[in-house]
This record gives sequence, C-alpha cells and structure tokens, in this order.
Amino acid sequence: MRWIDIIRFSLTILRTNFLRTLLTIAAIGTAIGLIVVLLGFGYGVQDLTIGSIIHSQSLLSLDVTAGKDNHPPLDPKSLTDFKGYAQVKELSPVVAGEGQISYNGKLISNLAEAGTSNLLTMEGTVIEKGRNFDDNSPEIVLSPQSLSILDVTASDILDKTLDVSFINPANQEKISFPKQFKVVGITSDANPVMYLPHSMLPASVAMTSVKVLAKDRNGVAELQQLLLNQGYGVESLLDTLDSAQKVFNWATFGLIAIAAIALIVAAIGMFNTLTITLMERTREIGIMKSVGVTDMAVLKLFLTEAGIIGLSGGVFGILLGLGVSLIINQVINQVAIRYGGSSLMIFSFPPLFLLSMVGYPTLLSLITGFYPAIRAARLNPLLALRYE
Amino acid sequence: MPRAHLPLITVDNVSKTYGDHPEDYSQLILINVKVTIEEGEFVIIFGPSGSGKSTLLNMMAGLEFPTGGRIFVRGSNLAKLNNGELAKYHRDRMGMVFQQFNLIKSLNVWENVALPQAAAGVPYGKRKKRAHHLLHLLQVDKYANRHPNELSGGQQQRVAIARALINDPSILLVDEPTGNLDTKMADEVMNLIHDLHYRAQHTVVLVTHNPDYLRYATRVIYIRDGQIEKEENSQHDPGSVKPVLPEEYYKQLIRFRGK
Repeated sequence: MRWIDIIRFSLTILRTNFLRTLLTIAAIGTAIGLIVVLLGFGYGVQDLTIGSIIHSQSLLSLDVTAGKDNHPPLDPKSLTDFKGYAQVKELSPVVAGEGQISYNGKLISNLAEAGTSNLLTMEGTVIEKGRNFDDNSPEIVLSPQSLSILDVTASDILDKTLDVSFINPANQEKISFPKQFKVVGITSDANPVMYLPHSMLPASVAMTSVKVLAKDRNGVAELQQLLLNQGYGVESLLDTLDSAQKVFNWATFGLIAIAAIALIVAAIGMFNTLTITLMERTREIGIMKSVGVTDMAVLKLFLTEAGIIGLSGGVFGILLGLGVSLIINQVINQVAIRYGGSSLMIFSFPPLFLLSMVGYPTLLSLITGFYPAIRAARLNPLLALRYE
Repeated sequence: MPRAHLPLITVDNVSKTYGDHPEDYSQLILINVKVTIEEGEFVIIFGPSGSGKSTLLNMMAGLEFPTGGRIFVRGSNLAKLNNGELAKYHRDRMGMVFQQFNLIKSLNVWENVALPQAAAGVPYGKRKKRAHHLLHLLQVDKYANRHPNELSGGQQQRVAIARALINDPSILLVDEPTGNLDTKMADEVMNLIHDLHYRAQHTVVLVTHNPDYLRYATRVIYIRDGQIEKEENSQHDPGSVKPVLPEEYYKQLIRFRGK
C-alpha cells in the first residue's frame, strides 16, 4: 500500500472516531501546553535575569574589596598597584553608602556611590538625560526614582544646584559639603541611587571597593586569581552568572519533571485509546487482511494513526501554551503597569524548544503505538473476522 | 509426453484438527479430503453446519492451513507462501464473499470496493474510476459515496461482490452469501453469482447448507462430519435463470476482467 493511501486511510479512520480522536489529542495537547507554559516561563525569567545581570554591569568587571580585617586595605597605593597590572583596562574607586539631598525644602535619603566618572559605564548604567559628572566638579547624577521621591521632573531639576551630604559607611559620620552640587544627569537605574565624584569626598573616607575592568574574558579570571592571592576579596559578574545559571538549571529540571509526569499521564491515556481502538477494529483488520492488505501495511496504518495523534497533540499543545502564556503575561503586565512597573515579556520560547514540543509527543506516540500496531499486524485474519 | 494438466485448486488429502492435540479425534474438522477445482466450474460445497465446509473454503482462501495434507493453487503450495505472497494471493488471485458482508464501516462504498486495489498500490484516481465502473455494472453505483450501514443487506452483498471482483481474481470463494438475507434478496444475490459464473465466466466455489441453490452448480460436493460423502454433476440448464443485470453488462464485465 502506498504511503499516501496509508495516511488517507488513517485520517478517514481518525475522522470516523472523531470525538475520541479529539479527546486524545486534547489530552496530549494539554500536557504539552503545560510544558510550554512552564518551560516558557523558566526560559523567560532566565533570559530576563541573565539579561539584566549582563546589562546592569559589564561581564568584564570585578569588584575588589579589602582583605579580611582590612588586610590588605584598599588605599590610594592599591589603586596605583592595580593600574599597573597588564590585564586592567580601567578602574574606579567606589565608596558606596547613603547620601542625602535636600531640594525645595525636601530632604531625601538614597543610595550613593562615589567614584570616578567611568564608574557608570563600567557598571553599565545608562545616562538617559543630561551628561555624566565631571571628576573635579561638584556635580551629581540622579536616578528617576530619586526624582519621583522629590516629586520633580527631570527638566525641573537638571542644572539646578542642591545641598548634598554623604554618610561615611565606615563610621556613619555625616559629611557635609561646603559647595552645592549641580544636577547634571539622570540615569535609567531602577533603584534610587545617586552618583558623585570621588574627588569631592575627603581623603580620609575609605573606599568600600574598587571596580576594575579587565581587558578581556581571560583577564577577568587572571585578575581574580592574582588579587585573591594577595588577600583581596574579589567578586566578578561571571561568578554571579554561573550561580544564576546553576539555579536556573535546577529550576528547569524541576519544571521538566512536573511536565514529564503530565506527559506520562497523557501517554498512558493514548496507549489505552490505541489498545481499545485495536480491539474495536479487530474485525476490520481481519477484513483488510482477507482482501490482501499486508501485515506491514497494517503496522504502518496503526503507527501513522498514533503519529498523527501525537503530532496534532503537539501542535495543539503549543498553540494552547502560547495562548495561555500570552494571557498570563498580559494580566501580569496590567498589574505591573498599575503599580508603576514597566511591561515586559516574562515568557520566552526558543524555536528549538517549540520544535521539540512537536517532535517529542510524536515520538512518544509512535513508541506508545508500537505495541498495539504490532499486535494488529500479527492478528490472525480468520480469528479477527470471527471477532464480534 | 503432454504436460500434466494443472487444476486451479487441488486439495490433496487434507485434514484439519483444532486444539493442541492433533490426535484428538473429537476436534477433527476435516479428514483426508481430496477435491480439485477446475477453471470455469461453479462448485457448491454442501453440508450441514459443523460439517467442515467453511473450514475447507477458508483453507482454499489461505485464511487457515491444514494440519495434514496440502493445498495447491495452480501448483503452488499455499502453506509455503510467505506473508507477502499470501497477501498477494488474497489480493490478486481470489475474491472472497462472506455471509456477514464484511465491509469496513468507516470507509464509504466505493472505498470499500477499491480497498484491494489500494492494497495493491493502484493510484487513487485510477482505482476510484475502476470501482465506480464496477459498481455501475452491478447497479449499485448510486450508493458509491454512502457508508455500508446505510445500505440494505442485498445492496451490501452486491458491494462485497464488487470488492471481490475488483482485482479480477481467478476464483471467487463465497461463504453462505445468503445467510443474512431475506428470501427475495437471497434469490437475487444467488442469481447474480450464478450469472457471474455463467454469463461473465468466473470460477466460483460456494459454501451453503441451503439445498435450494444446488441446481445452480456445475458440480456439488456433499460433505458431512469432515468427510466427502459424494460428488454430483448438475443437470441444471443455466440458461433458465433470468439474468439479474442487463445482458450488455455481462459482456462489459467480461471486458472489465481484461483491464
């Protein structure tokens, strides 16, 4: 029998048992849909998180902190030392603490980072409006969150001057500056954070860390090793990325396990359906064989039916999964926008993943269908004809 | 020396037992049966139920195999055929008609008729045309797109006969064709089978327990308790049966065989 006829007969038979075919496809589709939603969510969160890690800072940067019990300490000498390393492209001292600004009679606190002007680019912070601060001028860059706490717009405050004070993280002493600071730029930071030139702080204020940018990927590992050997604390983004990746791998594994259970249930259902179909059609198989349909053709016929069910289940499942994901995403975005967040896509569907969601149920149905198909092919035609 | 004459079917000393013990005579269905079927005959195997006549027919059809003896079709031993050759035998060499009609419910009438053609790999358009033509000759073409269960018993049996004829078999094997039909339909179906032999030159082996139709046969084999009692040639004048189909259709049926 030709393949085209095998497919034609399979479709005819599936159409005859329309409701049962549909229910079986729905069962597999639901399982696949569940997998698509779960893993799509997993992939989406992974993309967003890793995307924001990579975006927020540079992959090539290292955060160096003083050694245990401040030994070795971070001081101007260590800065000079670091600069001397071949792997270092640039660096910036960092004093991270709390800053206060008062404007129009309002006093607010937010995070503050003092560094050189290259700190922002090294961190991957983007200046949305205005410009970066100048290293030797009393200038300040604010984040949109600080503006909303101050209840002003960017154009209101740009180029205005305000009073700034800084809490020394080492001893919680408040450092007030004699000059007012000029607001020169607004970042895209999600947190209320302000940036100011390190040179404005008194020399006595100790650095909390040094941000170092390596020349290349290898340099990151080399520098890390070098500085760790000297006793410094070193944290690189690659570490963060690694541990994030590990967490996601486990999470994905968990999601796949849940999904696999769903698929096993669907496969058992399909096995049941195919076996019942076999019994119902015993007589039909006997007729086919008595008019000269070969065992091989009967086998192919049953496998094709199973394959079509699996394939349709996969396609249906993907459509279902995508639909449900979009709805969930829409709802979450509505909520996020209401609470002042921005809308984003929390699901992600790599094409290869979607392709596997068609291939997997098809393969599974072929495996499930194999036993009933073999039994059908081996049926004794005469006994089958007598079957009621 | 002239070549030995080869009958169409030779049943050579065939026995059949069921169950695991071939020596258990209570299970013996056929005992040392010898039958030959020649081309052009209309043979009726007649006997009460349980006599083994259907088993004999099923063995000729290659649906069952003897536990003793051999069955040859044009010289080849049916028991020696492999799966593929047996399927080809079912498909091309014989056409079978059953008491239960045995049409496939999920296929429509013409698809049922064309099934042996599909099994043989004949393309869709060609087999559809051939099935429709044959249904036309048997005067059931108006049901071509219906499903079997929408048809009367007599119509279904005609469709089943069409399916048996579609691949132009060398022999028609017919098992109690009237068992599920009322008298009028039964007569019509029997007359049609008679015509297929007498007017369209088909070789027919038919199994029945109904003595009314014995006169149609060229030869009757009486079977009882698994053994052949006697064989009798018929004195029947086949011309006395009124044709079921228009005369012209039989000529077309003969031409159809050549296609």
